[in-house]
Amino acid sequence: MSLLSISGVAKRFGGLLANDDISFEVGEGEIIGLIGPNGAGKTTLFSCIAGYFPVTSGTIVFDGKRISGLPPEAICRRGIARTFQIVRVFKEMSVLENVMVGAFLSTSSRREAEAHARAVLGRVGLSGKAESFARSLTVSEQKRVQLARALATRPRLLLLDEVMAGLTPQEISEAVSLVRTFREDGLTMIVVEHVMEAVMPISDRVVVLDYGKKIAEGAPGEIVRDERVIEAYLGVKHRASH
Amino acid sequence: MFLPELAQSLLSGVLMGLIFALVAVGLTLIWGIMDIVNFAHGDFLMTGMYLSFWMYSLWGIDPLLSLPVSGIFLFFLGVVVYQLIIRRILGAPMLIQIFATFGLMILMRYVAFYFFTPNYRTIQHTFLSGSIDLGGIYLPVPQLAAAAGAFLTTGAVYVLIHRTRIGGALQATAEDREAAALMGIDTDRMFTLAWGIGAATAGIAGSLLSIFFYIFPEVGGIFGLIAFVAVTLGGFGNVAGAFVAGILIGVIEALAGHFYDPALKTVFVYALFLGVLFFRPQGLLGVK
Amino acid sequence: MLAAAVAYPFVFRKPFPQDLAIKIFLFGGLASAWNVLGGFTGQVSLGNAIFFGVGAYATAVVQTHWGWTPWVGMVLGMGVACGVAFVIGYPCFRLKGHYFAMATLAIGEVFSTLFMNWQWVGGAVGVYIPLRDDTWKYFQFGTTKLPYYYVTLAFLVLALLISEGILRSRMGYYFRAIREDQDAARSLGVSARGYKLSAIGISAMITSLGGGLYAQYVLFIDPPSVFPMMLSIQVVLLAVLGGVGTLWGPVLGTVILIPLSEFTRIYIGGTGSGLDLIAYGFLIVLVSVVQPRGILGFFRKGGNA
Repeated sequence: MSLLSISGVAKRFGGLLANDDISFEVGEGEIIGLIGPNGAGKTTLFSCIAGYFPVTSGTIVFDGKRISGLPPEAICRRGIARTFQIVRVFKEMSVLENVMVGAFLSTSSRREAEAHARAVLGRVGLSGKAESFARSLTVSEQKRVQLARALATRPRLLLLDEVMAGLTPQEISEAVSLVRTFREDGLTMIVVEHVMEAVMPISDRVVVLDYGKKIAEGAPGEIVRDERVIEAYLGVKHRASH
Repeated sequence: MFLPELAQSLLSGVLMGLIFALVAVGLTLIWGIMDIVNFAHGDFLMTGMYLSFWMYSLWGIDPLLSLPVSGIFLFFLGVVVYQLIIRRILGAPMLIQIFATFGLMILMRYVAFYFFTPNYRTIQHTFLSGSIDLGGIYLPVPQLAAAAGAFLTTGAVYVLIHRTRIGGALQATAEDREAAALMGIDTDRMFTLAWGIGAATAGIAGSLLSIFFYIFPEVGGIFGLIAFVAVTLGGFGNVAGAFVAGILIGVIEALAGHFYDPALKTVFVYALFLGVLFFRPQGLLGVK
Repeated sequence: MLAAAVAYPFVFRKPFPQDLAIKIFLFGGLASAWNVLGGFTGQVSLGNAIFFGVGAYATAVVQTHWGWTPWVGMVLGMGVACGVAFVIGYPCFRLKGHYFAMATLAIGEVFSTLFMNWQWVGGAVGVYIPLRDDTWKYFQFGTTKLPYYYVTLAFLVLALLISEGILRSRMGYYFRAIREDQDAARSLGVSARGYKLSAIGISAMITSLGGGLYAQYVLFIDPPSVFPMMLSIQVVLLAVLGGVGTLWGPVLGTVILIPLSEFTRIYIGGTGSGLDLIAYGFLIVLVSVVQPRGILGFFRKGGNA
């Protein structure tokens, strides 16, 4: 049985149908890449899964139980964590405190939360910055804080929204290795990305969205050669030149 | 319920509502362009009232003539407030933004309190007096004149916003600050202008009001509140919406006073405010 | 420092310094209470006087209407204030920042008007608490201020202990996360609504306790003395002046501002002049523009507690 099951999900905002009849499955331990041109509806889908928007129609089932319609905090408690496309760290708190907010999900003891937070920070390589204020970090460091914070909630499914954007090639390859270690720990992930060099090597399967609809799904190798996908991306270039 | 009395109340409500509308228009301009709530807006009105009062008492200048002076003075006051205070809190956390205009409100109100005493003042008329009789309904000329003035001024602001290039620039800045900046619109200048116009409209409303209303330091409180309600109701940034909402509130307030206890009129306005906040925060005409 | 506070009334035996200290303790507690909601959790309430008034009235009314002791009234007041807080908070917390502040302002005024017209609690006339000889049971002392001094000191200490306890606990982290970015907090499992309600409940209870103590100290209350908007503003100013969101900020602000306002009142002229309010207004603007972190902001690098 798959861990996450998205069936016929549609999300409408007034006149705009941001997600249109999207369905796919995510198996436990898989890494799914979610790609598509800008405006295709990827972040909207994430927000629906994470509970920020109620779906207009369709259902989302996680671990056998329906989660569509639950509020974000309940969904997190069920085991889904997310990062935000535009980094949203708690600016006036230290890096350690940021991650502790995530860690407190599983304990109310400050000592335990702190220990767990430090461990997670070690994993993402931010131990040295634990006491710094989040707003004094660079954007790519803040992204790692966001990541650590989400990890601290001990999720089973992690939704990563464009974590690679703006990273140097060196940073990208570090991030890719990091993501691979998460998978070894049994974490399931859906990764939204524009940076192809990052998402293709790590994904088991790729789902492609365009104009709110799913237009393709398959192994990375197939997707790259899929005509509809090429059309969608090329089409963007054509549209942009007008 | 006597029909002529009801009609009387309704009409006075509309007249007063036109003044509310003018005050609201200034507030919505500022709010719409920079998402800052000007808690001191009512006290700009108060300043206009006192200006007219003192020009009348000291030099015998009729409020209608001191209108432009009021407008110009308040325009510059708005510009100064923006440059000295608002500019520095543009990026500040919301508490601080609330605090800044709130503090300004208290400062202005109690400076007036201290220098002018809390006594209620009025302006006795030179050439605007009496009332017009419309088949049993009496419309006092002062109120009528004030309402007409408010209507004209609101119209002028509307034309400014929607039919001039500067107005277009203001609208662009309100809609998307960065895009407007990329088009070469000086955001700082737009903000300054918005504060100037916003303050000026409040000041003009105050001068118009001084024709028939009591002048006292706390007058800004109730008109400021009504302006908030009107802006919330009309959708913030929406000049036409603020206008309609202002008149609506004038009518509702008059009806509340007519059917219930006039002393509870204010509570009605508060209740309306809370109602709008909860049920339709985007306003009757606004878009979410 | 606590030792100094305890010894103070024996050094300063005149009523004026003791009265000053009592006011400082009382306001310090109120400012700290506001800080829990406004500073830690970032929900700017401009209507905390509501809870103060509720506490004061509860304390007074149980004596005048049923002859109970004020202590019961204070506990009752805390319960009622908490209830009112939830009733206000539940719908209002849906509102975005500015709107929440305005709503609390409007509700504060509504309460003031309501109590002015509510005859059962005395309406505009107010409530006179029946005078008695010095008594702990009814918490009244005409001959000495010492008991008031120590009780209000205990009140301040209680408020500070609660604040500190919150800061060190999970609740405190969650409060701050909500202040920083509510949606991000929710994505980490924090129930924003639940914690905001807790914050306003705690703030309300402490504030109402202060109201009860005030009632017993002055033995007369009416709507303008316990529900005024100025009180709500004052409490906010004290916290922000000292350092909003910090543990000691509200106390610092109180220690600076209350003596100042008392002295200006005495030397420059009665409360009717409005001068003290001019100063308040000016200070508020100054703090916002120059140092939004308050006085403590000059000493801290980085962010809030």
